[in-house]
Amino acid sequence: MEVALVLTHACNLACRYCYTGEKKRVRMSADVARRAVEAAFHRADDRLQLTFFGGEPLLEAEHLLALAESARARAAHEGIDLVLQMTTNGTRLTGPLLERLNALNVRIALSIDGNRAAHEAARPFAGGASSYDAVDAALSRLLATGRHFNVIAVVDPANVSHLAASVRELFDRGVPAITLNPNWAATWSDDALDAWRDAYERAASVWLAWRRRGRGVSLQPIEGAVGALRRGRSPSHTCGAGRRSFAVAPSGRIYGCSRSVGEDLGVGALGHIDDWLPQPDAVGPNLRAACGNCASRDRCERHCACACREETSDPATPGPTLCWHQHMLEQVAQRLAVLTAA
Amino acid sequence: MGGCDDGTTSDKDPKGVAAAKAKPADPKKDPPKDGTNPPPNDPPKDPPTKTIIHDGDRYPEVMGGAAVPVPFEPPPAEIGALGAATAEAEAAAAPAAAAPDPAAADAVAAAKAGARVAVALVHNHPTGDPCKPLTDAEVGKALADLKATRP
Repeated sequence: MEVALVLTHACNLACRYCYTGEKKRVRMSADVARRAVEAAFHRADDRLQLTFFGGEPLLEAEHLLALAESARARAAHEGIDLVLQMTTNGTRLTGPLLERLNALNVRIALSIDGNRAAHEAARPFAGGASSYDAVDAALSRLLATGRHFNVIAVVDPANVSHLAASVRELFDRGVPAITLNPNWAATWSDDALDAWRDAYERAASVWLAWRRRGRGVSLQPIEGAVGALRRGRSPSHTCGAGRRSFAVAPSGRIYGCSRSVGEDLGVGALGHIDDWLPQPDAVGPNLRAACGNCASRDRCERHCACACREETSDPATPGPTLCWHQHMLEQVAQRLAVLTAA
Repeated sequence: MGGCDDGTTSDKDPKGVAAAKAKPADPKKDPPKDGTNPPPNDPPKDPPTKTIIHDGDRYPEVMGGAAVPVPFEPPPAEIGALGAATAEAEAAAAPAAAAPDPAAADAVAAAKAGARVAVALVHNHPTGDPCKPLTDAEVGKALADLKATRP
């Protein structure tokens, strides 16, 4: 079971593509957090992934650390295999805080859109100033630890022209894993789509060059698409929202995943932590029906209900950008598969 | 600048288990604590290993946090298999491959026993001087090869 705790709606950045809506100063109370963790453990079998999310979760750093520590203790007591994760914009990730997070083995996903040009295209501080230097400092701290972490880079029409250079720069600096996270809700012009296609090809060549060097960096979704082609299906070809995963908003409402929470207005909410149980048929079967006989259906990212909703407002209907991306991605992946199979 | 340049990668800890903080110290298996690991370019005394890089979605087999060192395969074979990059292939290869390594076996056994093992998932830079940025020639060659496969 994968459970996300949205510790606060507040954020100190004002990313232009943010899908979480208004940055309200609403935080998860200690009582809701306690019940959310209780719900997570209650619904876990022998494995639980607990993710801290926001807003910016490090605005609630002490709360996060306390929850992480108690969850670690409980998991050890109950024999549950616990993974702790956090997605952060990095601007509050000080050295001492990073040490405390590492001591609790909290895995970190750092949101940085790439090099300075890419990052400054859409991720300013709430006051409008560039956040790049602050995030760059966090990136350097993470690299200095030698521990694994993941970079999440949003792909948006405003920064796609910098994508390939960004991937190269991040890997050159020692980043071990990058996840490219497209902004499906954006308006993608034909020129922007052409730039995206070109960027994927160039980013894929960087990934290939590192592999030839003997360093197995991870670049998603490109690397995953190669694996999906080999297996004939995506590793997680159906959406787990509401079945294998759920998110708890500060109000205590349950959503399918962290991306569904938004402003926590109740739209799409599945229930409340006090009375909700995972629903075996919540989303996946509907998604399966949406794509007819498309050859890519079992490898497609349309398994993500949130990606569908962002583009079409319907969690079961993939939009044209998602479909275009999937086919473009597979074209790149097929060629990579040829090169890496020799 | 970061993990590549300050030598805090797997080059300094080729077995990838040194950070299992909860594990009792064993001078025969644990690296020295004074930071006197071999410099990155020195050939390791033992057969080099790498540590599986994973994330929760792609590597469910090792989500518990215990990194499983496996013997490093030279680049051509690794690239040819591609499986080294994919979770399932790596995870499938890990148990058998790790078996001869007593340190790795200890780490796996500790994880299976439910011990609280805090493991640093180190970068897997296996050989040579991997921290140097890619050259334009390397990237250009890869891009040219990729473009040559266009239908």
